[in-house]
Amino acid sequence: MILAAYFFACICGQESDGQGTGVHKHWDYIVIGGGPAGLQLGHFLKKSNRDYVIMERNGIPGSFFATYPRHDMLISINKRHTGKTNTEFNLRHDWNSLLSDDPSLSFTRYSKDFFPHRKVMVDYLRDYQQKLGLSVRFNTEISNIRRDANAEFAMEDQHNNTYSCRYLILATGLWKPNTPDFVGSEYVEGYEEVPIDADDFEGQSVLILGRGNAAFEVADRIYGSTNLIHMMSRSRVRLSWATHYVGDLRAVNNGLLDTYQLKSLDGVLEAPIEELRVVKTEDGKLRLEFTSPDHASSSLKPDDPDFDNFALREPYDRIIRCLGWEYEPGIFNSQTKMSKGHGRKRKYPVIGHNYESVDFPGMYVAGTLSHSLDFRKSAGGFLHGFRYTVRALHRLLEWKNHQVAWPSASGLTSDLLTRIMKRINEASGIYQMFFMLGDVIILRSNRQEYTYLEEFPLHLLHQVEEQTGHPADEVIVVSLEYGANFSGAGNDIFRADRATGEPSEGHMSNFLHPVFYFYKSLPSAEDMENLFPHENLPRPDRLHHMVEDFLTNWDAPKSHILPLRRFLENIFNQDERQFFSHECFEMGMKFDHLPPFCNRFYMAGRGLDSASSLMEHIKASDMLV
Amino acid sequence: MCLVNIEVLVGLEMLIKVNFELVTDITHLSVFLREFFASSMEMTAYNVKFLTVDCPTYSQEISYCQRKDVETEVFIFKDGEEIIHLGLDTMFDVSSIVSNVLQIVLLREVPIIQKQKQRTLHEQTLAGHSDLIFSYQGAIGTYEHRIFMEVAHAYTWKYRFALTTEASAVNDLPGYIASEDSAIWVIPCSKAKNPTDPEGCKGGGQAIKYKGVMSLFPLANFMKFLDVVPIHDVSVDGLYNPYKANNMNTVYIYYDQQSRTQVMKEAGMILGEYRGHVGILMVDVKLKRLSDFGYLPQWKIPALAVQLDGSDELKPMLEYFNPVQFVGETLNLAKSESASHESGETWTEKPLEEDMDPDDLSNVEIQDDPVAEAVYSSRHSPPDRTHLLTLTRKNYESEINEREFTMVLYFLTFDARSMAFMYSYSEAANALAKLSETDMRWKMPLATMDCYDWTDICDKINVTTYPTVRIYRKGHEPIEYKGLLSTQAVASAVRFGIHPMIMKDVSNVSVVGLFPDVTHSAVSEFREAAKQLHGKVLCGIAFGEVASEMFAAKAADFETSQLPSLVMVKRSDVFQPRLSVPMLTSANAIVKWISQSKMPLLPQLTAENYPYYYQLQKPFLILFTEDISAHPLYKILGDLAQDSDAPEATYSWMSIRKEDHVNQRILQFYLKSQKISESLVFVCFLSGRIFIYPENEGTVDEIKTWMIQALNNAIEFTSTLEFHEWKPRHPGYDFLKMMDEEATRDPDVHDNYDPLDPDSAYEYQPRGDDPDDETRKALQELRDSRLFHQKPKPLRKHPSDSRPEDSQTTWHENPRTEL
Repeated sequence: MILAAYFFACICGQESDGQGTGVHKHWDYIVIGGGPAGLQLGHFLKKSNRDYVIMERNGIPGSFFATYPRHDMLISINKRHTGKTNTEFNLRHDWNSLLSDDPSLSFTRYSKDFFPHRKVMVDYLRDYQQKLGLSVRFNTEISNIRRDANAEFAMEDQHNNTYSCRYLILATGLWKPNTPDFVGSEYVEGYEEVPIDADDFEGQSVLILGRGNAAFEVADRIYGSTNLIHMMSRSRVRLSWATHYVGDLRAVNNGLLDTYQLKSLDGVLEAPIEELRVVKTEDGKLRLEFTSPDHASSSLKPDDPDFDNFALREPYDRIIRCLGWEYEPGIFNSQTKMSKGHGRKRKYPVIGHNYESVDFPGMYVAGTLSHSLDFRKSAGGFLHGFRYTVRALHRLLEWKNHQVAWPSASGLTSDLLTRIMKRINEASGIYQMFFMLGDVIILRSNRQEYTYLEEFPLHLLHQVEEQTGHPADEVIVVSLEYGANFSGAGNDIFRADRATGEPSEGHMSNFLHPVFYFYKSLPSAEDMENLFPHENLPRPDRLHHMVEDFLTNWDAPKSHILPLRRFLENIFNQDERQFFSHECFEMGMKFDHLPPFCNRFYMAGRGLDSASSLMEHIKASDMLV
Repeated sequence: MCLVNIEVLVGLEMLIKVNFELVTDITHLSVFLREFFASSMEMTAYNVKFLTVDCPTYSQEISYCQRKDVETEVFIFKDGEEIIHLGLDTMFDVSSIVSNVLQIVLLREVPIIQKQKQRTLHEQTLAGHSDLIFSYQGAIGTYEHRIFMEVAHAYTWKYRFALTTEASAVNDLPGYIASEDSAIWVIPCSKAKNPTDPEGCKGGGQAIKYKGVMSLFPLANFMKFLDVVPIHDVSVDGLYNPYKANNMNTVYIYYDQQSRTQVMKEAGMILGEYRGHVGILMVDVKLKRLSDFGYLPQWKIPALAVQLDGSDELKPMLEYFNPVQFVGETLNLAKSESASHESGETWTEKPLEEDMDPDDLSNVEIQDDPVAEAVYSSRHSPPDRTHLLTLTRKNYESEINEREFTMVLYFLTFDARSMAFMYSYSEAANALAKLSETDMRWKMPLATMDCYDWTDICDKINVTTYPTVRIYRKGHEPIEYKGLLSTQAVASAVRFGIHPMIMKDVSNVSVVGLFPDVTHSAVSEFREAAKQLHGKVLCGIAFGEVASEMFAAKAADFETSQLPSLVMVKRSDVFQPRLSVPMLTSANAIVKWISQSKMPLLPQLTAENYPYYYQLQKPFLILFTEDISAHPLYKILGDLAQDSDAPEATYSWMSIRKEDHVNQRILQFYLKSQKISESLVFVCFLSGRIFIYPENEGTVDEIKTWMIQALNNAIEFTSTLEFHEWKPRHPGYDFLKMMDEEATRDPDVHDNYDPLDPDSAYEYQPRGDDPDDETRKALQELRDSRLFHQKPKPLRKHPSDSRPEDSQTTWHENPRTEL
């Protein structure tokens, strides 16, 4: 009876608030978090008719965007025009839309702003959930997630309803502010609470801790009112246009770099925040001191006679903390807390490249939380990237849990060149998730036929068969990559020799360009683990780099297509040239064999005639040679 | 002049400014320095010194270091005076550095001329004295420029040299080709008696163009061979071949008294084109030991043969005709060049499978796919798409659903086959457009859909290969068009699709099923067969009285005598205008009979029907003729084709009229001769053997016997089909290998070479495997030996002596790096 009632609720597309207590409900999949990643996964689960629910703490989807960014502006680009009508290509430059089959759910229809208001995202996510009828239980605060007796996951909400599922997907994102402990941290205001009205900072001296987009966002909005702004962080500013990493400082927020370098009192400097001490002076101002952790007694104070030029010796009116977010494991009970990463990945739970927790089989991570896999490397921490990793996760689950093989297309390898050309010129998933997701082409039947898998997590290449359900031995991998020595803070990415146009120098391309790996047999798990720092995949049997292109149109007949054809020809070990009928005829009369192209088309009555308007020109040009 | 010091200086200020961590920032400069150091090795032989100055350290001592452009310029000094400074961007590799510096070393010896008139004046001053070697260089600083300068350096003692960068200065010279980046001519001014002598060099009338590949070895050889007496008559000059000893190509001309004048003239013509590439050995056939000179008794006089350097084999000209062309083709000095002389009508061996040199990386980007090449070279005259309906997301559904008939071409612009077909497709549309003037049904029946622009639509309807052509008819499921990709075939398919009744215009064959009544059991089978042949053959059906009447009316012609029967009318078949059989019992059998019988009895073999005949797996008997109906064997072959005793074969003919180049080439291949004549050829695909019927006439029995003998291998075959495996023609770029090599050569540019440490430059090793090295050494030796024998000019004082007081000491003792 109870189940039936919930079933009804599900059909309506929106779970009712659990008013009663002690009700129990079970699904195959519970997704925790109704933000972009949770909804994205919900769409795929619904589309494949899976038994799922999304648990959302708040009353709306994507409630994070109801508050953040504090100064309202999203920094994911909303590029409405590319000059192309190719919907897939255009997704390469639309960073806000989630994937769906409904063209009205294109974010570009929601705002004309290149950097839209956060509220647009709230509207968009609401529509996305409603139009697609995704099953979300709002106002449901999950806690005490644990393993139950059936080795499934059990949990409860604030009304003591209990839920269980076979597979748990954590898509909560990062929402807990990172608040390091130091002496005087109580005087520091957090990004989440600091006033947004610039008038509140009139004539004040402000120190901002942090050097990310939030820090600069705050600085950008208030620096017209302040005396000065100083920014402090442990490491140097990393500009996203220098690193190709969208999580680094975006140009749209970096006005303070201007005022610093143009000697307008503002400044940026590097210092360890953990060693900071904030002291309140008698007149209510905040002064900085630094303690060396090794010598607790020795500290650097503004009045230190030995360091009378200490940069931060003037006191501040306010100190604002913009130090980012971290993963909050509070919803788990002590037995099911996923371990956290190390070093710079410490804010993420540890997962494998199949997005599954390394600690608890059946527990997965989707969206921003899965960014440990490509932190500071690719776009998996951002909507335009994780919409594809979520799809990859769903495809992995489909095979693993329901024996539905990874979606694929098959064909003759003689058609492969055109298929690859089309993919590299439009595919968005491998473009956004460069280095991470790539197309895997399985060669079959003595390399005569192929099976094409799109957007496969490349770090699972050694397991392609067990992860997708497609038997694989010989494979070609298509991946988009930046040059090894190009990006990085401090590199001059505008240097004169930054680009090459020579196909023979494809491997020296710096900008994003297609790379093709051919393996006669799949690399082993060992190969995958022992990569050199500059390698993305183990050494293949044959490698091809397609030279970078300023327009990202890799369609030049001689520079792009021809070298790729030769690469494929050498894999297939046959001449893949195309011929007109009269040429096939002549060869048929003279040779004991015909080229494969002639055999396949001409001999099957599908020869290609040379149109008179085409031939006229050829003759003329021949004479010019 | 050559013993004068030339010094090249580059400022290093920029290097010192950067610290070690940011070494990547100066990659471009470190690359330049590597090239600079490499050049310095090569230029020592030319007495040019390369110096670098550590500017930040010695900015006080060396005034140049205070110049603003010291970071971006290379300074060149001669006798202590700066003569020029050049931007680093013009000196990007060894070739550009060496060529630029050599140009300066030889500024006087190799003047740069910009106008034709200047060249003519130059020629006039040389008249009667010296030959002029004149070069056109599209750009300065290239490899071609470099080798020209290297050769000039070695031969200034013998010839005068000059060059131009203006095509207008050379476009009057023989063999000028506008698209060439560089060219070299020998203008024989020394022969002129006076400056205006028309026989001499005025206007370059007698100029000989260098025809070899633009690389050092062949060019140096050319210069060497210019010096060798070009004609050697063995009976006058001695019984030996001087050219073989010189490693030259030899042209043997065998003459007798009658032909002497003629061949001498022709020898002159050959030299007019190929001097420097060949020597001509004149052999009088009166000579006793003719065989010593390669002569074979069966050769008719005059005869000519070419012996390539390094080969013992003589290649004779089979028929003495146009010796200049034969010599050119045999030498095959530059492949692109020989291609330009042929307009497709002369016979070239294996034109379609010319193998590429796998080691030559430049070939990777030379298009060898004829379809891609055709599309690319016609990119400026795109197909006329006026009459093609362009489908987009907006109109796709409505057009497809509402029109009676639409043919849609799904294409990708980067798919060459799609784009080549687009030309035929639009031609068909243009042809059909005329019909729409009177009948609206013909309005734009051909549509296109760009599957890159509308990728989601093509995805949805599962179009995954290109081009895909589908036919949409209102109320029907779409059909995949699987016919020929030709103008004709597309137009026919449209005509048939819109209006089947005009099929007789489209097809030469129609079939009627004649039945006693509608209820006959075979009617449904016939209908099924007709359905399968939809679009290919027009099928009709008749019952009862109508059928009987039709039958009676044509009874005399028919081979069967009863209903039901199948009747086929072949409008264009002279030998077999109609035929019939008793009705067959299954649809498949009907289809099979129709498919087999619809072909003409003695077809013209064309590119279009070859696939059909080939799959019959019978040998081909082909009459190659210019005019089939006038050929004496035409009738005979028709009889043979109908003769049930004749060997199983496809009896056919092919046209060898002037415009049928492909057929001519095929016959040339069978005859193994450039010269073709009407022939009867028996091609046995199974054995790969080809037989030529020895006569022009024959009876049915004679030809039958000959064919049987051929099939039994009882007679000799003329030629065989060539065995060819269609393997990749080039390994392409091996990036793994390239990266490995780069890693070992310079694990990182900065690892073994430190731009901040001038000493590290000493460790630089020049790239080892330059094929030009040996030639270069030989040229330099030549030059040096001449120098020894010429009076050297007095040595000037050391540059430091002539410098102003304030800088002279530092200049000499300065901390420069001498390489």
